[in-house]
Amino acid sequence: MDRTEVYTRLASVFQDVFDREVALTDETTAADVPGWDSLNHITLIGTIEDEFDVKFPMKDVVGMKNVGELVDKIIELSK
Amino acid sequence: MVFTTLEFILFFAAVFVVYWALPSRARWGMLLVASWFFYAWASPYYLIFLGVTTGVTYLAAVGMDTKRISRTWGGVGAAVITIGMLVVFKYLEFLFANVNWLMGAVGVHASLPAVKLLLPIGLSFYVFQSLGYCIDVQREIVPAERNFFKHALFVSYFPQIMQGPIGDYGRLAPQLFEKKSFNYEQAVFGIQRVAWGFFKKVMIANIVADRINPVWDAVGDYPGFICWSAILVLYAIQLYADFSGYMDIACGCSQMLGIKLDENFNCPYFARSVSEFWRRWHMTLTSWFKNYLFYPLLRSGWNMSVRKAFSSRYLSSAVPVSISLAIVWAATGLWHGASWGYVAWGVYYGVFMILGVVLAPAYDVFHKKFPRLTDSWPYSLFQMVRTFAIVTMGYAIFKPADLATTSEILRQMFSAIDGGGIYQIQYTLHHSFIKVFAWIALMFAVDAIHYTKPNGTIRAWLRRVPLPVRWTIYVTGLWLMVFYGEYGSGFEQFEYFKF
Repeated sequence: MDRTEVYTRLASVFQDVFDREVALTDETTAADVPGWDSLNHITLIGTIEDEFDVKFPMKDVVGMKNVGELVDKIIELSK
Repeated sequence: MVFTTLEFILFFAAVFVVYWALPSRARWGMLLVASWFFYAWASPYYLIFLGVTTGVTYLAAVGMDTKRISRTWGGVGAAVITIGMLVVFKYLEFLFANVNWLMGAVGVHASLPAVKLLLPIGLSFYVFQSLGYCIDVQREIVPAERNFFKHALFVSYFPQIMQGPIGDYGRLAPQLFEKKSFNYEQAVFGIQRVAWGFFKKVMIANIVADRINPVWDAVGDYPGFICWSAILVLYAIQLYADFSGYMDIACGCSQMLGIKLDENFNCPYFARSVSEFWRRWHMTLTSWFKNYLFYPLLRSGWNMSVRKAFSSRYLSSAVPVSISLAIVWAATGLWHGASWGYVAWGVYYGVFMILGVVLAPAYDVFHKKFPRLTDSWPYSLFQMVRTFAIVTMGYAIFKPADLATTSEILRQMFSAIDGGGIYQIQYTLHHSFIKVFAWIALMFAVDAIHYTKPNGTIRAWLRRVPLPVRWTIYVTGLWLMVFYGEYGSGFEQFEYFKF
């Protein structure tokens, strides 16, 4: 799975969770997305896990800094 | 050793001079000795608890890191022993009393003794800080510290040991041990922050506390809604000035040593919702509960099953989140003290948090339907006042921490129609109190500036003004505190010490 494909599927997950279109880049953080708070973070992580059939360790749930790291992690866990 | 005493000022002056006079590699050792001395000053007996917490979390973290013990058992062992110690010294009396009551209710005679053990000051804070570190090691977020004494300094660093902020290992530990040279600007910023903390404590918190403390012992003498609104608002101001003032002194002292502590407050009374309030008030505790209880609860197997049991996206998110919030807020209440009053206070916030989750789609629709209204400043102001009212009402539960007194306050507030309450509170505050309103206004004005321009605007402005003006401000501030502040014997307590 390449980054472009991950981004395409991720954009649809974000739209689903936040009910709006979100422009995603490697540098996008929670502060850039209205509604991405600690509550929605877990919903987002759960939805991403369902979409990509992966399971994030807690280290990554609390530690990922931006969408770039999220995409890297999805690719790493999908291998 | 309380920060607002002469003995602490002398202690810190000595630490500051010796710390910067020593070579870099020797500084952390000196900080450890100073921290143990500082804590032992309260009572040498407390060092036992600090020692046990330090030893247990050290062994657990190193054991997990070297794979001598499994990550699961390392984390569980550290949690059981440290939280167990907290339970024995903070909650045993409460626990026994409830067991006795429960057994009596089902007709079984039980008489567990009424044990009242002395709670070591700061135990709740450093147990949480060191346990958070163990969990971070378990999650492989940070490596374990192999040097016992370095670990001991992380647990006992004196500016924060008694009242927080609850430090995050990844951010605090590297600063404790890194090489650094004296930075004049940071030292000045630190002194300014300390002075601001002293101002909040001696000019606002001490004076307000002195005037309204008699109220809590004679709740029945103060009838009426206006009277109690005034008392609760004044308590809100007192608690904020007291706790955030103490944090300012802690952060300022640490900044003078070149170590930045996590912030615990960010203009909390400007929050527009209850959840935002808790992202601005006692931030390190909120963050601790989020990382080490709320997230694990939401990620637990049973919660995932609940999530998958609902086909509707709304329910599959709202139900498990609400269950987890209820647990987290009951625990947050209980962390503050061993009484049903504190649990009720936690549940009070839990209810608002759950309402926020349950009603989120309705808020969203409202926002989309009336964007001009919800984006306007009067609406923001309404949200701030509403949040402040909710928080302030919560103090009717929090301050007495006793449900009988809370119900008496509510009865006085909502059923007693007696104008005499206003005269009673006027008499309690008495005339000399009026000048305090100027200091309160100044505190909130500074917060308002930080709220609108969060990047240290005031200190940057102070740095730019001509030297004579700057020193006039310093001297006037010091003069006001010396002559108008209330300090010394009888004013040495801080509201958050008891937690």
